[in-house]
Amino acid sequence: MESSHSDKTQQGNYFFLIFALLLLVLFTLELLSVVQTHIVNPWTYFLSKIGAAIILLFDDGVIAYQQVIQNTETGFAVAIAPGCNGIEAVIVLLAAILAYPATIKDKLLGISIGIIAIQLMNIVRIISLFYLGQYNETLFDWAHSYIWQALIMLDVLIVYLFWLRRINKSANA
Amino acid sequence: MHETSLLLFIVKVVVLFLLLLLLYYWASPYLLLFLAKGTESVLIELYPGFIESITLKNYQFEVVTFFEIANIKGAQLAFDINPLKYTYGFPLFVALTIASNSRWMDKLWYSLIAFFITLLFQIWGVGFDTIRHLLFEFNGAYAAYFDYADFTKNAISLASQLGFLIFPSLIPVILWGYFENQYVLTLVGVKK
Repeated sequence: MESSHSDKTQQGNYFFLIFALLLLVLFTLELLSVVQTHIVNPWTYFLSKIGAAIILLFDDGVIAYQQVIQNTETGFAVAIAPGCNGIEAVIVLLAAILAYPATIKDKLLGISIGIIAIQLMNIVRIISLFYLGQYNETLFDWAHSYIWQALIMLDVLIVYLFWLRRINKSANA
Repeated sequence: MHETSLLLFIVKVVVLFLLLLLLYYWASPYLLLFLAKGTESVLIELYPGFIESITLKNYQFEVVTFFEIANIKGAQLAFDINPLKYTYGFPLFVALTIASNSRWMDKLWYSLIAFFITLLFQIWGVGFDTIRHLLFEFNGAYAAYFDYADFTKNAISLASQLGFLIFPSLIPVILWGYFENQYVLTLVGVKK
């Protein structure tokens, strides 16, 4: 009983160590200029295009260029900055899934579904901020700086908990 | 525990978080004093002669330095930092804890401990943001005072980004997972 408890503690410590290391490595990689140029910036531009395309379905008069979505009538624009492209949230999920002992197939499934879930939520964030910014600046600041930051992390948590639940189900089956 | 319970838990967390964030904002003139004093002490210790004070004014930290603004004799360089960008994680932790099934007394203790642990990461965030301001803003006018190599500058930039983009939302979730680990096990179906 005692050794099982210490085994679990050791497993927990091991998980946390790997998680923290992966987080640091992936986050450092993200900040490298070569990664910014070839992955982060193109992804951010792509996100603004997707955001604008969705907005155009119900609201014409919107354009997207580089990381900016702009209302052509009012001139109001939002720029998707670092931290708003969902990449940091993906990095946290990636580190947590990779650090957990599971099969490669389960990890790949968790990562794929997780990236989709996070980026879908992120597009909702971008569109909501685009409209909030035109409606009320204070609300925009709150939503942008605090509320959506927490909601995206909660999204990561939900995906991770569902993934762990699935892993445990298949392990018990 | 069914999937619906997990979703119900998240809905509870989101509603509680929004309410607690408002409450936190209302109480922040008092709660943020710990962060202002803590960051001020650390920076004065690490950079004596650089930082004069960090004070809370209208929900913003005013950082006053000993640097003189170029071409304005006697004018000290000062700038603002928004502390709430680093501290919204504490209400998130309390929301996660209230939505879990531990005893109320335990929730209270966990929240108190989490307040001080998150405070350390908040000091990290505001501290590195202050240094980042002096190193990279104001057209680099004050960077020479630090005499840092490129590697150190990059490390400070990384630390500042971690303190702003990752720690405020991730640390509360990690702390919640640690304190409420038995509840997490029920959420993921390991425990009934």
